[in-house]
Amino acid sequence: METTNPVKRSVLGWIGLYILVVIGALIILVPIFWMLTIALRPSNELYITPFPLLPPTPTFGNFIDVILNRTAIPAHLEQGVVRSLIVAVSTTVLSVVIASLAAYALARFDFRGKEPYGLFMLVTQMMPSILFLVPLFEILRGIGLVNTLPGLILSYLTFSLPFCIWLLRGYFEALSPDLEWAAMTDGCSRLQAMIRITLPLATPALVATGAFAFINAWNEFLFAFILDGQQPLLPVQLYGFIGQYGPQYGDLMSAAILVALPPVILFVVMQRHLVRGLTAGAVKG
Amino acid sequence: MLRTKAFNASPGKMGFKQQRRNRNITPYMFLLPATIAMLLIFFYPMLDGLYTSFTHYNQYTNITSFVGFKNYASILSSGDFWNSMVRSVIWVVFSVLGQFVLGFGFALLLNERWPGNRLMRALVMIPWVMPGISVALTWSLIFNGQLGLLNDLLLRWNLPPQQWLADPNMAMVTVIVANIWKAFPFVAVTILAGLASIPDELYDAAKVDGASVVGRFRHVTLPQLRNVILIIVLLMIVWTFNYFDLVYVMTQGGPAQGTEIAPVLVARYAFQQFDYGLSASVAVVMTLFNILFAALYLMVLRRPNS
Repeated sequence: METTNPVKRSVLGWIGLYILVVIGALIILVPIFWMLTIALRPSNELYITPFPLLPPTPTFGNFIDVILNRTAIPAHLEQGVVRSLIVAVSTTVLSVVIASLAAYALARFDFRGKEPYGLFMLVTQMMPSILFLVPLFEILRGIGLVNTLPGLILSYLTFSLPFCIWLLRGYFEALSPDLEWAAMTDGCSRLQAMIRITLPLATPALVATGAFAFINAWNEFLFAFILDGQQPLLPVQLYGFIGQYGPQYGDLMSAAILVALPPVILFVVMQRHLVRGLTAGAVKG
Repeated sequence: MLRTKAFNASPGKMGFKQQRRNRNITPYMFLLPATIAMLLIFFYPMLDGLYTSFTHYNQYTNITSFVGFKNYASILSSGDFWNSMVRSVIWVVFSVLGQFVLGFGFALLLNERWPGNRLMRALVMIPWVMPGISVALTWSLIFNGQLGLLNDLLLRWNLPPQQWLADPNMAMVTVIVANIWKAFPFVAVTILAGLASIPDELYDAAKVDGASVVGRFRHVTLPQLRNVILIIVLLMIVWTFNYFDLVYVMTQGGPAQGTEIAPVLVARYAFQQFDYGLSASVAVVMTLFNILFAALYLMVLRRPNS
């Protein structure tokens, strides 16, 4: 992803460029700044007019109150974190394991029904998730999994699985089959060749795909809200605070930041891999 | 997309694949776990949803009865449904337009070489990976009537403050702005990857032919990005049409149904009125709309290229 344009640029060109850079940075950062400036001020500094853009006495008090359940109605984020982690990690592991088998078949074999199967994975991404909500609720109720974490994990696979198959298929197609071929002449079965040769070579791809599955599951709100309201995950807990806190905006923003931190950190750490993985599908098309 | 892939495959690779085509059951074994899972958690609920749209559930007697196309007839003659369609069109058109213009601008900027570029590339994706609910809360506070950033700026410039989320049309503006901010990064990085894949020789050749910056953009960049743009716009339209979290958290579809886009109407029918049949029929119409739109879009727009 190296930039290709020549760096010859006039002084005026540099000034123009950096004006655009500053505007761009403001577009990204102003809302984030607003979150922070409200989260980092004590509640008596929320209603001063004119509103001081920076908190006059910045404090982490709101964060500490939210984490230690010292707010008017305790948030119990520590319970939500455990649930969100269980659901997001399980969804990720299940999706990546099942999807890598399917994606391998789509990438390596030529068989009847291959193109429709691949196309169907794409079509699933166009279905409104809300169509599945009531049916999934009924199915989960039928098997006694409503308001349980396993039930929620199952329902997350509905969208996570085809997404992972779609991403991984592209990665596997880009890998040369020669090494697997060699392993199979040496007596490996297909599955052994895939597990011993292809998967180690595709580790970056598996990690990137897993990261996406994790972020999607962590951020998901609609299914968690309806299918598992009694054991709220973090986004549902956050939604619950809106009503509870009324004007306690400092606590609310602190909680919103805490919930957003894991996916943002995960992304920033793995940024290069993730961007390449995400854009590969569209660019290749 | 899938078809071009087959053409691009090298002859050697095709030969390898052909060799394996001897009515082998191996690929089906690999597909088995995914297929079973998809049958249970995708196909079955989908068909169940379709079936539900032909039924009526009576919440007082707890009896579900088959009613044929009655739900469809009643949504087609209901103001709720048409309101949600009009709101959805406004929501999708302006959201995707904004995401595309902003995303394209960012892609062009990030494709230039300047100190700080790498940092900006990391920052730009933050809105996209944040949970929708955090984004919704942030923008609610920016547009908040009492301590919002926007009203604060208006007051500083001696302009009258607005009740952004209390007016139906203004509320639509606020959710669209929040949605543009949330999703433009995806457009930016995808277009950026597309820009990076354009060979330098094309620009050099255009320069030799005396093309200006604008000329090179029109005759090299845009045609080369054609397929990327087509796919990204299609994806953004479908995703925006289906997107629920942001609007639900910011406005719950209000005020006065001003932001009641289709998925929010589906949720209201199902979880406030417990009219599952009506709810499912709106969801089925949404699905049909998506599939028809995608098929038409690809047919009409891909033709000149092939």
